[in-house]
Amino acid sequence: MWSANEATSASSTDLTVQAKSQNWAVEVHDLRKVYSMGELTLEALAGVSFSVRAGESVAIVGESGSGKSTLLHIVGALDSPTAGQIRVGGLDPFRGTDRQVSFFRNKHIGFVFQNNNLLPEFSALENVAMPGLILGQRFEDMRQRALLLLERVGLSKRADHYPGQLSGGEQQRVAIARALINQPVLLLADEPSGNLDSRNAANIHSLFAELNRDFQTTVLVVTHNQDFANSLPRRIEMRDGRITADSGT
Amino acid sequence: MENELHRLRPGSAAIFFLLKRYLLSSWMARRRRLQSTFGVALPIVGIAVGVCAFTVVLSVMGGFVHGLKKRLLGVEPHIEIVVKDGFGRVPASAALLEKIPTFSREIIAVAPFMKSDVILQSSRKPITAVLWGVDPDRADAVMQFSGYMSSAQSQLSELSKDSFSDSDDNELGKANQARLGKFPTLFAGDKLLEVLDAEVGDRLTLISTQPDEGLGGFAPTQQPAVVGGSFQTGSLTHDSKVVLARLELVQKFMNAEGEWSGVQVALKEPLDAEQIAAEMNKQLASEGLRAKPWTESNKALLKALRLERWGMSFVLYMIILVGCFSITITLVLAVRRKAREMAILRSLGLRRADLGLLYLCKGGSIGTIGVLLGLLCGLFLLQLISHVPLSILQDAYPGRGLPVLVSWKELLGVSLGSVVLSIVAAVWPAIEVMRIDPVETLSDRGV
Repeated sequence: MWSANEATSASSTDLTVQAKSQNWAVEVHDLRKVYSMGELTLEALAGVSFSVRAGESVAIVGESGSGKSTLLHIVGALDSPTAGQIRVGGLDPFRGTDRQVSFFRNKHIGFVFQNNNLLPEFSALENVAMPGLILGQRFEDMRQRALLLLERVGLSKRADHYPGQLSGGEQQRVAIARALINQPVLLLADEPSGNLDSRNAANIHSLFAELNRDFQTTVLVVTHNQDFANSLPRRIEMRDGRITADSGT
Repeated sequence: MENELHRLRPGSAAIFFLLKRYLLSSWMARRRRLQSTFGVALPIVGIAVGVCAFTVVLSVMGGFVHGLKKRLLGVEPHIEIVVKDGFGRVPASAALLEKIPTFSREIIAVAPFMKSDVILQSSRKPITAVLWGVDPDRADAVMQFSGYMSSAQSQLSELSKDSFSDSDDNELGKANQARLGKFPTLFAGDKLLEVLDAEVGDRLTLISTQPDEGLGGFAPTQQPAVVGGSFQTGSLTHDSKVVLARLELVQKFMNAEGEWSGVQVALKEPLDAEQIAAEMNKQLASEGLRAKPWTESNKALLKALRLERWGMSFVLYMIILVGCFSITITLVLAVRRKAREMAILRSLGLRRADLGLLYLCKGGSIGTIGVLLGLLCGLFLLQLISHVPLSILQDAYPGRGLPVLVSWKELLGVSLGSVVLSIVAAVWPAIEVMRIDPVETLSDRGV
């Protein structure tokens, strides 16, 4: 079993330490994102500002098209903003080259998508180890850590199964383990239980709570599930690309 | 802390891991993804077929051309040094024989020679022939005539100047000596003897085509001689036209003592004759001499053979190119099919350049596997056709397989060229995969 202590003490990054010392995992200021399609423009984010403390769990809720996923993608350096400032763990991810931004995403961000997005040709174990391999680790070195994480999400016996041989809930748990393999400073989840039945969804929700508690990982979750949102300590509501309510302020 | 972003990140472990999986292993895991496996196998087979065809066709052509050149060359010297204008003779000079080998390290032997058209008269009929005067001590190193002797006499040194006395221990020599007395000996091509209706031991008369002034006016010089041996070089020109005699005899017969028709030169590599002759000509020009490579008299044929080889190589490269196109198509389709997986890898931190590199490696790997497969199949086929007689080629190669000459240098060039082409074929897919926008792809707005 990979304990929270081992996870945080054995290989915590300088970034985590710095984030904790500054106490801010995410700082967003006047973030704007405009999509242009010929003469048409769509303002997905219209000046979003908020901060998230290290180790905090935050739910972002809102109607479809309110800009939640766009915000999540930009915070995770998967998409770039049109304007505004953003710092994750004290770093501005958009001030580097593709190599540097990719390294940032690999080392400091963990993604969990609505469609689990596992690699179908790799086993659960290999899927979990993949971010470590991208970081430059050997598979043999990653195996043990991946097994511990799979055990933590209750799938140690399914390590050699391929995504097609796992249920939706199991696939999502593999995706969560994969997101944690490099011990990121920030875990981003976009509708992690959106495609699951209520029982599996509840399991995933409680898993997020446990991981946040055990690993002290900052969690930012976009969800339509009101129960899940209400179960998290902080809730940010969005509409038309703006924050309309934030229980943390 | 900003420095952390600038740290180099090795993604090679992931690329190798992905490549291994996508190409070689876990066939079991891909049981339900046969399309993907088939997609990779197709261009591999394409390249393999091209390389296999290249190996077989060029090696068989090489064997054929080698045989042809061997026949063309036969007993011809690789280079002849003659007077510059083509007429007249070279003054006999031991110094010249010592000087020529210093022109190039490629020169392995030199020998003076005399050459003249003659009429050869047997007891039954006359025929025109070419009389070659050779120095038995030197000529064999240039022409390897002794290897072509078909009669009992097997060395050029057996050529006697004026009698059979040199070969008294030879039964044939003793018999002929008793019958014919002391005459110089000749070696003649077996076809020539056939036309003359003569055989080894028969007496012939050499009649000069250049009349000499005698007591009764101008009359052709005549010299009785005995056929001391016959040869079969495989070249009709030589076997039906050439008679060999001692250099001194021919000089005397042609009234050209102290002169040579020229000097024959043997090289380590006959195919370098043109280049070495050109180098020699720079130094011989001042002496009024010229080096004439063997290729000069077979230029058109050799050019045609070279052209044919180029043409064939072009066609075979086209086959490999088609194989490479199938790499492009397969990989572009793979990019489309795996766009979501590539976007996931981007979200996990793989760089655009890493994805591009992955596809370039994929193209290179497909090419390498195809080349190795093609070489194996090609070499196996060559073994087969070089040992198993083909019924349709029984006339040309009775009782044996096709002659084969594998040019490893050429095969290495083709193999490396094919791998490079395979990598080039993967450039477009690599660009395509680098263009994938992970946000668009993962949010189902795009591909």
